[in-house]
Amino acid sequence: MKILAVTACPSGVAHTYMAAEALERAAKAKGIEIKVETQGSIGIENTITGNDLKGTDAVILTKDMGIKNAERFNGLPIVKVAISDAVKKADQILEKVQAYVNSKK
Amino acid sequence: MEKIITRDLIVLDLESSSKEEVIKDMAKLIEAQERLHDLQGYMEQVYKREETFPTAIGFEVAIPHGKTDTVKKPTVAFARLKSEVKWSDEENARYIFLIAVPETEAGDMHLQILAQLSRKIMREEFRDQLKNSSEIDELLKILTM
Repeated sequence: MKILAVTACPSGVAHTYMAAEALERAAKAKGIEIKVETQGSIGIENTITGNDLKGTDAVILTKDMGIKNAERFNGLPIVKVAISDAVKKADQILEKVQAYVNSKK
Repeated sequence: MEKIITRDLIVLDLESSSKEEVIKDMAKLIEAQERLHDLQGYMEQVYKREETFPTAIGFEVAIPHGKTDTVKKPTVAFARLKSEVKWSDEENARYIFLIAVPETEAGDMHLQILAQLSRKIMREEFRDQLKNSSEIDELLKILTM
């Protein structure tokens, strides 16, 4: 399974990166392939490109701030989550996404 | 480059008994290092943000922060409280990172360090080190590694 995610938070200082780390760690533990782009005060890092979109099962976007260039994910299943949930409940979020993806197969 | 965290910005067994007091006591630490333009203004920003978006992130950790013009130099203060305080309706906190960033922080360097620190906080090994170390110097090393 392959997931893409983009994280962003109001000040762009801390939660953006915590959420990215939490999602990456939770995905790794579950054997899920993930790439997380951060849109923080440093700018956009680990940018998700057209190549990354291939074979993607689902996209997770945080919803506290507008996500830049979200239109590149058009046509893919998108899950919007609160950034605080991405930080605290990355495990549960991935479980739900996993269940959704499996139900479509 | 000036460090964002120094020995004087770390405190162990802080005895503040409420969230408001924790923020005030820690903001004063930052002020004492001449890293703020306006202590009161900075605290107001931090409180305001907490009202709309409490910064407890689980694991007894909270990361209150203010990105505002009242800040002179990008700073992190760390406190381990003597006993945990109520941080939000759902969560208590005992390990506090108070972050201060100028609104118009030009250089990326400090923000990179903060991003790295934020990622580290999500790692259990790092949190265990914060919990178990009893020396300020040791903590400084852990926080700046």
